[in-house]
Amino acid sequence: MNKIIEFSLKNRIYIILFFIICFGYGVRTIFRIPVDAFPDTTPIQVQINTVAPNLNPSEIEQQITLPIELSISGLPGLINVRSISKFGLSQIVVTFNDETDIYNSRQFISERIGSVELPADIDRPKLGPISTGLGEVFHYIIRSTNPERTLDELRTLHDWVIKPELSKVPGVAEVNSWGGYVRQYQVIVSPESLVKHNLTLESIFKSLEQNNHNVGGGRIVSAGQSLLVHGLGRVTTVKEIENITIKAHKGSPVRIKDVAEVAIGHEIRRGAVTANGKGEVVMGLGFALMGENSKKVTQGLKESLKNVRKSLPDDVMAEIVYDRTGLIQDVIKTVKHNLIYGAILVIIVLFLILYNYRAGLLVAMVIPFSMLFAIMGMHELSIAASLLSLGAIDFGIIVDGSVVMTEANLRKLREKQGLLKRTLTSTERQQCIIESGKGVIRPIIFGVGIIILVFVPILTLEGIEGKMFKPMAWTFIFAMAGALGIAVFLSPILSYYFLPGKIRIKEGFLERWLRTGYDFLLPQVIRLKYVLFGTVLTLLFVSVFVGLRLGGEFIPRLNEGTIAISTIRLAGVSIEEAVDYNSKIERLLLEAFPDEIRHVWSRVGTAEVATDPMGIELTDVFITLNPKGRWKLAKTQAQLARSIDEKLSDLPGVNMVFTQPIEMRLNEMISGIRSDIGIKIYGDNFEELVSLSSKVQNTLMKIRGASDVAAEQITGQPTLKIKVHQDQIARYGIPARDVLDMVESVGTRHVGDIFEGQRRFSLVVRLQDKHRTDINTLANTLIPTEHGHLLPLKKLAEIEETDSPSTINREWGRRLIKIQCNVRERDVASFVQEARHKIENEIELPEGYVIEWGGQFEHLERSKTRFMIVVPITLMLIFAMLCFSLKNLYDVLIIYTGIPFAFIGGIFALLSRGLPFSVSAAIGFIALSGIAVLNGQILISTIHNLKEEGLLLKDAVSTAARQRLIPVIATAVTDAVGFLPMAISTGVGAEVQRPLATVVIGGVITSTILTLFILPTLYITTGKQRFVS
Amino acid sequence: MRHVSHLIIYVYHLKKEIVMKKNSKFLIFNMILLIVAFLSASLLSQFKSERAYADQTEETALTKHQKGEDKQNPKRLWCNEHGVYEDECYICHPELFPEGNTIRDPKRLWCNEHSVYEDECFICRPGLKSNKSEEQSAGLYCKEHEVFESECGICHPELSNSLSIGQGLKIRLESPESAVKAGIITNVLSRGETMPRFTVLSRVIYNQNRFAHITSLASGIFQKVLVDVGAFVSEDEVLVEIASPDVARIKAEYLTALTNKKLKKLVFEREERLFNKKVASQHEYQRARAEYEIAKNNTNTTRQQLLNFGLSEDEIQEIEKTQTSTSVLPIRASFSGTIVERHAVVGEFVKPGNVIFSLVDLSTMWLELSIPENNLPFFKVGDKVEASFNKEYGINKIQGFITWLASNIDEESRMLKGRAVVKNPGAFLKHGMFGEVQLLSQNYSKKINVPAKSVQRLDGRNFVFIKLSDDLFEARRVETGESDKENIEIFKGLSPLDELVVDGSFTLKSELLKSKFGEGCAH
Repeated sequence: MNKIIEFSLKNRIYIILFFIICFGYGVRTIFRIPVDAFPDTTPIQVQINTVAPNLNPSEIEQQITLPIELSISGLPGLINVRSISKFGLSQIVVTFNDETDIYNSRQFISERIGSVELPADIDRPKLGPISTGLGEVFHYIIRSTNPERTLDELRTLHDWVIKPELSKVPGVAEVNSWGGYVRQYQVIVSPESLVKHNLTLESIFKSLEQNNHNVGGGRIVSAGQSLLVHGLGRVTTVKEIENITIKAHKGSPVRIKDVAEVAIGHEIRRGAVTANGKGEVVMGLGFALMGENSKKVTQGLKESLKNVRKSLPDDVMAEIVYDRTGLIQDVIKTVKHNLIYGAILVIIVLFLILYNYRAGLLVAMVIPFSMLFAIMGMHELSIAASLLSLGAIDFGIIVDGSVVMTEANLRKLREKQGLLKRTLTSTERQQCIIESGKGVIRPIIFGVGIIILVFVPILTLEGIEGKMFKPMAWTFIFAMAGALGIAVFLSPILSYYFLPGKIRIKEGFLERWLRTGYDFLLPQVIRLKYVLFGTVLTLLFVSVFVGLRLGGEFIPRLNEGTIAISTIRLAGVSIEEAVDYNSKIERLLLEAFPDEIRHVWSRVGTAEVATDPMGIELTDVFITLNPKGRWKLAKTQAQLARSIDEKLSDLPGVNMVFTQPIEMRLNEMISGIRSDIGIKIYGDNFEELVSLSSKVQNTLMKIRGASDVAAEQITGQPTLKIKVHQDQIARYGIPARDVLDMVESVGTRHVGDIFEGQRRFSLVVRLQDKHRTDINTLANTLIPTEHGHLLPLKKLAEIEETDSPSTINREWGRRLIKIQCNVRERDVASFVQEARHKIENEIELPEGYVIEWGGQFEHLERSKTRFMIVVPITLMLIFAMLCFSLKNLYDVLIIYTGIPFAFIGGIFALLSRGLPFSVSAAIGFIALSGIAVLNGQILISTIHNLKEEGLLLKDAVSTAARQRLIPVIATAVTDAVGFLPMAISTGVGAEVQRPLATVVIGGVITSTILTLFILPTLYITTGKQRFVS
Repeated sequence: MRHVSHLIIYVYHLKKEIVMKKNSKFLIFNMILLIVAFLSASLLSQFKSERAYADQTEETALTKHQKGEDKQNPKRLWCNEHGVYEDECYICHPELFPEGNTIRDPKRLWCNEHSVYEDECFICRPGLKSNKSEEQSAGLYCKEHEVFESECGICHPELSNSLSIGQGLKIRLESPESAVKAGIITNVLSRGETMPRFTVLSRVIYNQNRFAHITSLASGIFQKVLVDVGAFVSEDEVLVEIASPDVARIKAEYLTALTNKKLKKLVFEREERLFNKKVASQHEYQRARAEYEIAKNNTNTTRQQLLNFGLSEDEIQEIEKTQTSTSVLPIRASFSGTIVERHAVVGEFVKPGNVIFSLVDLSTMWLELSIPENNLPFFKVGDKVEASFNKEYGINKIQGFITWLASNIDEESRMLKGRAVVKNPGAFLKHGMFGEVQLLSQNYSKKINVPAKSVQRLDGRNFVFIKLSDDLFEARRVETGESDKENIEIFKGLSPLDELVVDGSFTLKSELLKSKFGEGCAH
């Protein structure tokens, strides 16, 4: 190990060359590294969406969801299958473990669902876009200034002009349409005219299906020329549809137009969008492909939209309301802020402490170099540059190795110069550096090695916390490895070249003050050692106590700069009602916050590709904000959200939850639960589930801290049940199909497609409006049958108005009901403990019913379990490393005391800033345990060196302590100030690192005190006895 | 497959369960590990047990408290639903409510509208809010919404099931501005004279009283067809001539009989003269007389036969005059009308009773009505109706009267057949046309018409919302009648002075059922 420095000094040209090459490569990769706001925490997920426009939830479950669920069971890597059956839509979300390749799993699923038998007249299941929770990067609205232009036209323009254009942008997974009307050719049948012509609905379906085909007829060869044969029978216009013959009666044909009206209408709507209080619009959503550079994709989409605008009619406008670039820029700003201020602070501290601008510059050079190393590594592992990867680097920790090395070199050179009283020759300089390097190289390698090592267990984290902090751990590891390489190989060379030939003997003023103070304090401390130990032990106890009282939180909420309000209404609300109300909310917001709100838009129900299967009762209101400078009514986003909440809280008939777009999306994708706690009750019987859920709710509400307790609205969908009377239809010899045809035609019955050039629209049959809007008229509708009986519907079927499930949720093939609960003014962990205890005691579950706990807290629980393994492993790794380094158990134990003492500082720092314990803080503690032993190690190894030189224990300790004062303080202070910008930053996204930085700063302060005072004292106190024996 | 998936779930839960128990306190574990490295673990365990003890005591105190509550007087009925004694449960027994059953103090003003003393009616006098009424009905007053618990729709939406018509639940909104923000629009009702319209299906048929099948009584061959389908004919117009051997024979017989009668008459007259002169014997005289009578009779019989074939007196006289016995039989129209069907072709043989033409008088038509059972009470013979038809027919609405209602309901369609007569000017109405008939009745006009969107259904019952004050609304159960696209009529439950919510009723219904919402959750 000692030979390394000699080697590098001798081959300095090669080493410099090597680093230059690395530098070049690093610079090159900077421009290729993907940039994203946050690390992507979405699990590997595949959505299977099946649309069946008319079916109600229980039929969807029975006919679609169940068979698909069965077909995908047993796939490799499967970790969860959950499904939702709603009116007209079935969605199954299949989650795989993180090792699974998304493309493979999609392939598997496609194969499996290809063989599922589904009802004939519905579309095949489709897989959702290959995108993640961060994928929804682009929202734009299409509106027209011309009041004549219909939503049908806008939607058609979007689907057939804009969408294909945007889909071409590289990296786009999907362009989704939301709102507007999807054009549909409708044959609106009047039951009276069917009676008149003695026709059944069946005959209309048949005639429409049979009169709308094109065929190929192969080819005819004549005289060496071949003609292709093309049979044309497709109808393309309303007129042609009208003229389709149903039957001929005595030579006079009965045509469609005799019994029905043919019109261009729209499909049954499952969603709508309103914007800026100006009514309905059509919205497009751009999704970025998984693993793509979302900044690039968003920019591509923006440009593409700008181009496509030219081909739109003059009155049609495409307006971007949300794009991810804004957030990314904000985050980059935060990252830049953290890095630049961190670097500046570190450099200032270095100059002050080393009191040598050359040495300071030399050490500061590590910063860009290690950054480049980190970026190279990130590029290799395709980690995006985000807030949590690059943004989390602490330059203070990175420069540690070089600080120690350079300081040692500087000191040795200075000593030697002082001794010889002349400028050193280059051989002497080399010799000096080799000598001083030898003294510190071991602690540097092991110290920095330990810091790298403590990040390794973080790589084993799973789930969101894994996805969130693994990039950070990797980045740190790469940066540290780079820094270590520089400290060991490059720093001595640079010291050799760049440290001044003529060094001021005088120490820096800061160094002098520190030294004087330390010289005074250390003997005092050693004298009062028992008082000191007492104080330390008390502090330790207090901090354990305090630590237990700290609240638990999973991951701090990231600030996105955009507000989303998810609102819920009564199940069974009509689209028109919801749209009206949303426009009112938008107008209200724009009137109240004209300076703050830039755009406000509301999405009701689901989009064309249902990435999130919301019912019509659910609306997401999005609010993008103006730059903060223009705000008048609030200063921060939280404040603004509060005043918006106040403004909207007294709106009747609607419940609201405030969140943010990405946060909302991630929560939906991860657990499907948007609240802190989600309790899932599994079982088969719907009524039983509902009654259990009300019991659980009652219990929860009694617990302190519970707020927003609510069960999901899964029932309450008003339903008109039309049940065929089997004995009646038997009496008249009518097939149930005749009755059900009529029922089906209340909605729409798909009978084919109509092509308008390339554009394809569906052709459906439905009843006249009066038979679809009034229950009585429907009940009295005469059903034409083949035998000529004329019977009203109510005679053949029981018609009943009831409530039915509006949503059927399933997980692992079982029905479940979810209860959500947020926790206010109390930490989630203790709340869950109490609630769980109470529910276990108070509620008796029927056989086969199971309660499971989930939500945000679920992740906290899992991460805790993981940390229980990770933390001891980390501590053991440190222990092993130290043993390997010092080869002395006693020294190792002494150094080990640094860890609990550092933790004291961490805990108190959290407490003083009012931050709860979170995964982020836990990572801080892990990093801290590495940092805490570095200084101790430097000190102990110096003591060893001095003892070997023959000094007495007490002298050796105090000399070593004094000698190493500057590097210890330098590393400690740089560590702390490096994290300072992160700890105090208020930029977008700074919330996640705040606990981490806080813990490290607090811990470094206490651990430095320990290294400087307690460690020597302890060494003297306990070490003496050992030497005596 | 199912079993396997169940098994997976169970194992999964079991695993979770174990994991949960293990990691009760991550921090404790973490700290223990550190402190074990340095300190004795005993101190910590003591500390821990203290905590546990504290938890335990807290818990026992809690259970004791609960037990105390559970002690009930076994002699009194307990209302499980609301957690009070049955005789104190004013939600189940609103009649027990103090204000409701006590004799009113005659010295105090009574607010009829809200059934409380005027000086307690905080609805009429918002200034009184939260004073007396709150104290008087301590546990029964919903403090959150400032209404009586038994009327608080937001807390007890389930009470809507037990409301009778005209009763309502109160809905208190968050703030007085809420309604304005949500765009709730109200309207004071005015009593309107309304014409409820029941619409039933109808079919146009010929007026069967003015419809005739023209037949021939004699068999023969069509010789001449004088009219065609669609021709308008007047009464007694000859439509067709039939060459009938029967007719010819009878005619000949008639002529013979006539001649015979003449002859016999001469014989008789001669014998009578002779008898009177006592020349002839009485026997001869009587024989001549009898033969004359027979001949007369014979003539009459054949003449009647000719008449029976449809020949008129004139024609018979013509036969007598011309002494011809042609086989031609003219067939005449029995009344003036339009020929709608023709079976006659020249040369075709026709048997007696075969329909030759259908003749119908199109000046009036019948409408055959199919009246649904639930509309029966509203239809009466003599009621005015208005028929309307598909637009493409180009017919304006035509009025008429119900002339007949069937005495039985059709077994199969469960509808009552009825009939109305309408005029058919220009013969626009065609037999077999389908149309709709609306009843124009004066009988049910004293009702309130409200916009259809103001009525909400709740568990199959109809409700409207009434504004009581800026932030207080009432959901009132009403009985509704017929409706058309825009309006719906209210039979019972509304007073004309009520301020009805005409826009935003769904919002209020949602507010009423807010407790059923749940959190916005996608999966």
